Amino acid sequence: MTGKNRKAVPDLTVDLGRGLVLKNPVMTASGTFGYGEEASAYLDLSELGAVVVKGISEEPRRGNPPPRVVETPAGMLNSIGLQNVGVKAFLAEKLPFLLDRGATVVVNVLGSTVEEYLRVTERLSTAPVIGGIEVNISCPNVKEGGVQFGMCPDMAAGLVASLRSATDLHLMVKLSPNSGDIPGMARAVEEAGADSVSLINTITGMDIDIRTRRPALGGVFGGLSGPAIRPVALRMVYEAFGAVRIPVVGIGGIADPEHAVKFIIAGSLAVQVGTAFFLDPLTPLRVIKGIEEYLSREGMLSLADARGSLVVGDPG
Amino acid sequence: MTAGHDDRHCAAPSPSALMEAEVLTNTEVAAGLWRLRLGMPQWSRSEPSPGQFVMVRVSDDGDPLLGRPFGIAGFWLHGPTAEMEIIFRVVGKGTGFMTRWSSGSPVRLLGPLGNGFPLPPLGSRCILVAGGVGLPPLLALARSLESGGRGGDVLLLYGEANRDRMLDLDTLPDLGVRFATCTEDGSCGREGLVTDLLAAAEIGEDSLVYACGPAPMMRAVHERVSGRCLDSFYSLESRMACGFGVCAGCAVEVREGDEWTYVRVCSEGPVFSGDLLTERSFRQA
Repeated sequence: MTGKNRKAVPDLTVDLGRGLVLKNPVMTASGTFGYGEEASAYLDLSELGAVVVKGISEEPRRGNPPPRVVETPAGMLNSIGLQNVGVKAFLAEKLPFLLDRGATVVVNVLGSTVEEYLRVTERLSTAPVIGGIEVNISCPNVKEGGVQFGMCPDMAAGLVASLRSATDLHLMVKLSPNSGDIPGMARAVEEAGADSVSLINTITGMDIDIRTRRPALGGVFGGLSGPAIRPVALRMVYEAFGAVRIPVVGIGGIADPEHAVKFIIAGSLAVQVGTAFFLDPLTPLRVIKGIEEYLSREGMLSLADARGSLVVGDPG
Repeated sequence: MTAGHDDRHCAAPSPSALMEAEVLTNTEVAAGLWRLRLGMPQWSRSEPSPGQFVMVRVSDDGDPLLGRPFGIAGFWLHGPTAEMEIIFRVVGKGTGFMTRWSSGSPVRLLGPLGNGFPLPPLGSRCILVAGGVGLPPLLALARSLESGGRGGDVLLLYGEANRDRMLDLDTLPDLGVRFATCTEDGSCGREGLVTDLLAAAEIGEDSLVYACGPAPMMRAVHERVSGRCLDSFYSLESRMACGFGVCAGCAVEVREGDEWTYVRVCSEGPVFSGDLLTERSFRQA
């Protein structure tokens, strides 16, 4: 490409609202990035749109018994069980490292009760440097992992309304694909005060060892992730985009820039890379670079030009 | 612009944290057991220590999805280039794919990862107990001790189900340590389990025991040698998704004072001191 043909560099900045501004649309998905310590051996955390840390509860959790992962066709099931250090240790030991590395931090919050979500959120709200909170109402792996809130729009709305009155931080609500009604759920949390929705969390599944006739996972059920769930995620993101005005964050099997671009065309303003990070720790940076190249090649100046640009029906 | 929305047009091969390698040779050295030698044109990491592993990408199209962890069996640095040996048993789809690799096939891998075997203090004797495909990391340890002039302190015990499945250690000219073999059916070496070889070996307060193999074998080694030797180390295996500490999938239960905790095989291990392990650690591995 010669100098005179060079396209303007597209603006990758994303404003998700209520103070959560990303330098680019690519975040890490909760539960796939730890607290950033291991990842920082491979990449500069400040280059990411945001780091969404592993879900934080009020008290530390040990997680589920092994085996915790099993490969499936073009995907994997996990049953980690929300192992985490708890909010106190997160603030004291994990957050300073992330901030020192220049990361924009979104904290995934989980709880068994509305009160636990509230207490964790209030603790986090005392740390003014957090970019936002992702409300986990969709982990399938523990009974008290908040998934009950993710299955019922009224319960989800009640939880979000309580959190809304307790914090000025950005509230991103992570939706479960196991809820039958994505548009209804998205609208319910929007009306309750959510600033954005992220989707999808893993799809509940299981596998069986026929030799031992035991479940392949210690937790029996697990969450399916990876390329296998991408078409389902894309459809649900498209449905959510059509249902709400708040930004939609797309998650589900994104491993390459073109996958992220599909989610953006379907209506995502930002995306999260999860399982693909396990395969190559530089995947998020590769996705950022590829999105920029796509926009540039298409003559688009910002993500807004591509977002929700899906053409359905007769191309004319 | 004419690129349209074709998937291929925004695929960017880089950046990547994976190291590029090329298959030098890939040979079936025993029934279902393959010896893969990889050449790396640019080795930019520190030299792996025995017991460390690599995550090998089997496919780039997402199926099979996950990398496969393999203990490094041998490593040779030649200036900027390096050669690595991996010995794998065909157990499923991923390792089945790997048998199709031939000289010149490109391979991508992440590593070296994890913590290797602590080296023995001078004056100690080392007993290496390998069960089946647990052999590779112990080969790396034997080779390392041999090249450091300590091959004379090493006894390698290697057990397999039968002769067909067994790697012929005489085909490894650089091994240079004493070894004894056994098979369950007696078709090669002594008849019995590798723990029977261990029972016949002299273990004392100056002995270090290193073990890698099926969980029941390692549990039996642990039971036999705990408290009878200077120290013992076990390379555990676990299903893992990432290999570098972020997925928390490879959790195994270990002692923590009077309590217990989960640690990650990939990051806190794969090699653990026997002092940390309980019967449950092996049941879960």
